[in-house]
Amino acid sequence: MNASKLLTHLSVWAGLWLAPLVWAANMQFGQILPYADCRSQLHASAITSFVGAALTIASSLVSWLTPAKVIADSEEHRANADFGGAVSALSACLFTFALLMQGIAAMVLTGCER
Amino acid sequence: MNRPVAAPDTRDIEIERKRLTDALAETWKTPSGIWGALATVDHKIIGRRYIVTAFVFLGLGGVLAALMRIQLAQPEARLLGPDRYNQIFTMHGANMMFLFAVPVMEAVAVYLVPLMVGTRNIAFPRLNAFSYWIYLAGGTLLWTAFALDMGPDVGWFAYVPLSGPQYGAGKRADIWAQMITFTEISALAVAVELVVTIFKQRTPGMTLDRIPVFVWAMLVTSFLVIMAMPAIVLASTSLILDRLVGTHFFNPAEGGDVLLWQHLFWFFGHPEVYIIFLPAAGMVSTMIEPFARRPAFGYLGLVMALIATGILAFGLWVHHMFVAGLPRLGDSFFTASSMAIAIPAGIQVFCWLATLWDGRLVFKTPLLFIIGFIVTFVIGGLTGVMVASVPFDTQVHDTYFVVAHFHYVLIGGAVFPLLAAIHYWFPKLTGRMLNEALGQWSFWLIFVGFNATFFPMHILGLEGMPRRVYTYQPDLPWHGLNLFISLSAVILIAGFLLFFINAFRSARVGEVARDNPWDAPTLEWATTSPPPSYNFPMIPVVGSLHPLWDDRDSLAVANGLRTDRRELVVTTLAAAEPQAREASPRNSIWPLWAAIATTIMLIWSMFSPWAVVWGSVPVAVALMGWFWPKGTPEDES
Repeated sequence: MNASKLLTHLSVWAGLWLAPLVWAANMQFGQILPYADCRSQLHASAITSFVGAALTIASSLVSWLTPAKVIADSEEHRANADFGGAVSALSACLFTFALLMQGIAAMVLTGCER
Repeated sequence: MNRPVAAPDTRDIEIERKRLTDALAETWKTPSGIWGALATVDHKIIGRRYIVTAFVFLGLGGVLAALMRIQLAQPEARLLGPDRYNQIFTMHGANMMFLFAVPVMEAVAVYLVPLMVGTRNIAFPRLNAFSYWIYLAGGTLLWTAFALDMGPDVGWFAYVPLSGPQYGAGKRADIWAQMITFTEISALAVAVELVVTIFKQRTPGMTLDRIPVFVWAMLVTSFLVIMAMPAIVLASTSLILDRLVGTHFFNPAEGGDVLLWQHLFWFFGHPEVYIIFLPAAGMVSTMIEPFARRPAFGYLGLVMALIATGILAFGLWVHHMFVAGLPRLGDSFFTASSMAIAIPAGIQVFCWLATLWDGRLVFKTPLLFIIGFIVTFVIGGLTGVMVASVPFDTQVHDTYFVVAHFHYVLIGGAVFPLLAAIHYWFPKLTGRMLNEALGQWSFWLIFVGFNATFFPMHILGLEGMPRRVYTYQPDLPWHGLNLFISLSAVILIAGFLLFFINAFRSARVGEVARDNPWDAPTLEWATTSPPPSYNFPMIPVVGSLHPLWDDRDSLAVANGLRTDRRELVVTTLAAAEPQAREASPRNSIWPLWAAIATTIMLIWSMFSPWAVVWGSVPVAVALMGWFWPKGTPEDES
C-alpha cells in the first residue's frame, strides 16, 4: 500500500480510530488535570475535553468528506468507501457527545472535590 | 533423482456436481455414533445443541418463576420458606441471564452467522466445541448445587458483603462465582470466533454495506462481550479469592471497598442487557424483510444504531447504583447518558415501523412476534427512561416497578424476537416447518399472558411492594394484584408449553420445508434445509445486500477450493476480496477432554487454591493433544 492510499484509508476511517483515541486520552487527562484545576482554577479539564470534542468533530468531517474524493476502481469500492465513511463519521459523533458531557461536567466542578 | 509426484488435482473446478458433493460430504462429515457426536466441530450441530440446551434452561427457569408466583399468590403462603425462596430467585435470575439469554443469542449466531456470510464453518471450530462443553458444565454445576440445597442465595448480582466471607457461609456464593467463570469462558470463546468469522470469512463480494443486519448485530455484540466480560471475570475471581484465600478486595475493614463490587459488576451488567438485546434487534431487522416484502428501511441507520448502542452501553452502569450514595453530579451524568441510549433504540423502532408501513405484510407467526416485540419493547423502553431519572428511581428502587421494567425489556426485547427467530429459522434448523396454527395460538397466549403478568407489577411497585420478599402480610394492599398476576402467569406458561409442544412435534412430523420457504433474501436460504455438512457445494459470491432477491435466477459462485481437505476462503476485512485458502480443523475429541480438565480444575478451585496449580497440568496435556499435528491434509497450511 503506497503512502497516498494509506492516507486515504486513514482519512476514511478517522472517525473510528482518531475519535476513540482522543476520548481515551481525555480520560487520562481527566485523572491528572483536576489537581491543576484545584490549584489554579484553570478549568484545564474542561478545556481539554472541549478541544478533544473539536478534534472528534474534525475527524468526523474528514471521514464524511473523504469518500467523495476517493478514486474508486469500481462502483462496489465506491459504495464500500461511502458506507465506511458514514459509519466512521457517525461513530465520531458519539465520542463528541461523550467529550462534551465530560467537558460540561468539568465546568461545574472545581477540581478540589474529594 | 527423486521427483515429487504431483498430487491429483482435488479442487472443485470442473467436477460434476454429484462427485463434488460426495467428496465434500466425505471431507466435512460428522461420523455417526457417540464418538462422532462428542468429537464434532460442525457449527450447525454445536449451534443446535447450544439452542436446545439454552431452551432447557429456559424451561427450568420458568419452573422457578412459577414456584415464586404460586408462593406470592396469597399473603403468608407457606409453600416456600425464606431460604429456599432466596435460592429460587437467585437461581431464576442467574439461570435466565447467564445460562439462557446470553448463550441462546450466541447459539443462534453459531448456527446462522457462517451460513449468512457464506462460509463452510465458523472460525476456530474446536474452540466452538470447547465453549459448548464448558457452558454445559457451568449449567450442570449450578443446577446440581441447587438440587443439593447448595444453590446460591445472594441474588443474580451477588452483592458483597452478603456474598463475601463475612455473611455468605458455605459454598453457595462460590457456586455462583464459579458458574460465572464457566459461562464467561464460553461466551468469550464464541465472541472471538464470531469476530474472526465475520471479519475474515465473509464470502467474496460481501462488502461492509452488504453484511446482513443480524451479522452486524453479532459483530457489535461480540465486541461488547470481549470488552464487558473481563470486568465480571475480575470481580468473580476477586470474590473467590476473598472467600478462599482471605484477600480483602471487598472488605472495608482491611482497606477493601464494597462499592468496587457494584462498579465492576454493573460495568459488565449493563452492557449485558445489550449483549442480549442487540442480537434480538438484528434478528428483527433481518426477519422483517421477507414478511414486509421489501428491504428494511434505513440500513445505515440500523447499523449505526447497533454501533451507537454498543458504545453508549459502557457509559450507563451507574444508573444501577443511584441509591448507593454517589456524588450528585455523577448521578446526573449517568441520567443523561441513560436517556441518550433511547435515541439509537428509537431510530431502530422507527426504521422497523417504516418498513412495515411501506410493506406488503405477510401475517405469519414470526411477524406476530415481531409486532409483539415492538409494542412490548417500547413500553419497557419508556419505563427505562423513567427509571433513568434519579428522583423517580430513588422512589421505585428495589420495588416491583423495576421487576416489571426489566421483564418488559428482556422478555419483550429479547424473548419475543427469539421466538420469532425460532419460528423463522426452524426450517433451516430441522428441515421442517413449525405448525402455523399452533404458532399463532402460542403467540397470543404469550402476548396476553405476558402483559397481564408483568404490567400490574408496575402498579405493585408504585404501591411499594419490594422485590425479593418471600411473603407479605394480609393487611398490605398487594393481595389482589398478586393473585391476578399469578393467574395471568398460567396463561403465559400455557403459551410457552404450546410453543415447546409445537417444536417437539414439528421437528418429527412437521411439514417438510423447502430450501427457502419464506422467499427470504439472505444467504442461509441459498442452501438446503437443513444445510449439508459443508454448507454450500460452491462458495456463493454476492453482489448486493439481498443476493437471493437481486440475483434470483443464478447466484454467482467462487471455485478453486480443495475437496479432499476442509478449506475456506479468507477475504479482506472491508472489501471482502479473496485473500487466501485456509484450512479448517477436522473433528477432534480433545476439546471435550480440555473442557473436562478445565471443569475439574474450576470446581476443585472452590475448595483449594492448589487446584489451580495441579489442575492446570491435565488442562495443559489436553491442549497439547488438541494442537498436536494429526497427519491430516489440514496440517499442511
